[in-house]
Amino acid sequence: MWTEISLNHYLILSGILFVLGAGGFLTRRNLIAVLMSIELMLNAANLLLVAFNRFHPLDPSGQIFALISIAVAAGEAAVGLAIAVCALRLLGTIRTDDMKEMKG
Amino acid sequence: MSLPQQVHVKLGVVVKLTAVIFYVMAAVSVASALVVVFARSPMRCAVGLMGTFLGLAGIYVLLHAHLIAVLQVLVYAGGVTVLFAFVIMMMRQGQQMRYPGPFMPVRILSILTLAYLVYLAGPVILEVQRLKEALPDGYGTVRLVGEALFSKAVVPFEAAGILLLVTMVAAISLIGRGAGRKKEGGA
Repeated sequence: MWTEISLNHYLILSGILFVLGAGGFLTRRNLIAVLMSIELMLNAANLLLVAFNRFHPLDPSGQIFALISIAVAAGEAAVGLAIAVCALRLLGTIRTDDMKEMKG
Repeated sequence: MSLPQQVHVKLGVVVKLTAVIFYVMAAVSVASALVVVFARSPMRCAVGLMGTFLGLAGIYVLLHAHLIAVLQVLVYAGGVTVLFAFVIMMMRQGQQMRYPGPFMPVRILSILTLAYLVYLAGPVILEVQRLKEALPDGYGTVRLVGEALFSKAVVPFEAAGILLLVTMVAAISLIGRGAGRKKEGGA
């Protein structure tokens, strides 16, 4: 059980990383840290894609999906950080508690 | 590249090297993810994020996805982390943005949820699904993935290119817009 790495090990590792990312996303109040938690969750999903592809090795669709996901995550980080810089300029803070402008 | 499958330890126990590498890399990534979630200073979070990315790159190598591993190091550990670090250094303006910690009901709920997760995942890890060892030639190499990427997945590839272009324009226009009149308020 411990010496043989199966699909379940990868799934559980991915689950742990995703749960950590989701917890950080919900509890952190710094916008930068929230973005980092999103990156953690995206990485957990990527790990799932690659691990499932390892178990169906004839079709590389999982790895291609992971590649596209990496591109999307890079773009997301760039735009998210740009929005954070804009928020700092306009509001003077990046604490998510203090951003109430769009509250209805 | 191929790892030696088994290492004979003196006690007569046969330990699979892949298992050792898996546990080391998994421990590195989970510990770094804990740093990301719980560290107080944002720069430590960025360093933890880089550790997570590098640990996951090792896991991708273990999964024979070599192209993904290289891109993980290049794009995530090299690009995204440095971007985060630059923005954190740019924003360093005295406010340390400290993390006050979750309040008590959230803490109790997290512990209960974690216990439930262990209760659910415990039996699952016991039933081992064996890896298919027979991989096709060139699995995970640039050649195989690239051929598939440019033949049957060319539309998502082009869409990703357009997405990155739009992202670049959006980031530049967002950052550049308020540069000239940053103290006037409102953009």
